[in-house]
Amino acid sequence: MDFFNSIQTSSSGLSAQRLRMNLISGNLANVNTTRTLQGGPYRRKEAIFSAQSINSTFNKILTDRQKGQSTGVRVDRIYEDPNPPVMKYQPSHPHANDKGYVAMPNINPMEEMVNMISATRGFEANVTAIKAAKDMALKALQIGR
Amino acid sequence: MPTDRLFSATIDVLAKSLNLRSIQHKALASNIANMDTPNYKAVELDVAEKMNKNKGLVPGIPLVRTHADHIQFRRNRADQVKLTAVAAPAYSLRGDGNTVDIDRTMGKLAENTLLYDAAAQLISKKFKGLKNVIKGGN
Repeated sequence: MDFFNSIQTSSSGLSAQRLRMNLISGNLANVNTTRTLQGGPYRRKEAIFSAQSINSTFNKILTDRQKGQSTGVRVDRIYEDPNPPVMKYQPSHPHANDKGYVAMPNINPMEEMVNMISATRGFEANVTAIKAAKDMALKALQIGR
Repeated sequence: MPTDRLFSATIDVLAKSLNLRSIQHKALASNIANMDTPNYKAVELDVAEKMNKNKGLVPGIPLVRTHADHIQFRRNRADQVKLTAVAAPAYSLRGDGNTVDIDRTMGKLAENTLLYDAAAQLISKKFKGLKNVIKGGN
C-alpha cells in the first residue's frame, strides 16, 4: 500500500521536526545558563537531518526504485555549535573569570525564533500530507458503497 | 463480450489513475519530510503519456484467436502510461543544497489529492450506475 508508506514517510518528518523543536526550546530555556554538567556555559544544540529510506529490505528498495522512491527523514546527529561563548562583563557574577567576564551561551534568541517558525511550518506541512493521504485512502474505500 | 460492456474500460483507466496518483503522493510526502535536510534533492515524477494510437491494442505480438469462443485479449491504453522521474531543478533556493520548493510541493499535493478524489468519485459513480441498472432503477 502506497499510502501507508507515504504516511510513514510523513511521520518521520513529524518526529524529526518535533525533535528539532525540542532542541530549540532547550536552547531558549538555557539562554542564560553559565554552567552545565560538562562545565562551561551551555552550548547551542542543533539537529542535523539526513534522508533515509523507509524500507530496508532489498526487495522493497528495488520496488521503490522502480515505482518512485519514498525517502523519510531522520535526525542524523545533534550537533553542538562550536562558536565561542559570548563574553559578558559582569564582575559580581560567581562564574566570572579573573578579568570579570562571564562566558554566556552562544545562543542568538532571534535565530532560535526563526528556526522555531521554520520547524512549526515543517511540522504543519507534514500534517497536511498525512491528512491528504488519509483522505485519499478513505475516498478509495468509499468506492462501491 | 458481455463483461466488456458491463465494466467498461473507463474503470481500468481510472484505477490506473488512482495508482499513479498514490505513487505521486508518496514522492511528494518524501519531499515534504525532507524539506530541511541538507543536500536533499527533490524527487519529481511526471506522467509520461505514451498512449497508443491504434485503438487500445498493444503493440508487439498480438494474441491469436484460433477459436470463435476465445476471449479476445485487449489491453488497455492506460497500461502504457508510466511515471517517470523528472530531473529536479539543479538550482537550490537556499544555501544548504536542498532543492525542495515547499510552496510548489504543497500546491502539487493539494492538486494531486483533489484529482485522486475526483477519479475515486468517478469510479464510485460508475458502480452506482451499474447498481441502479441491476436493481431496475429502484
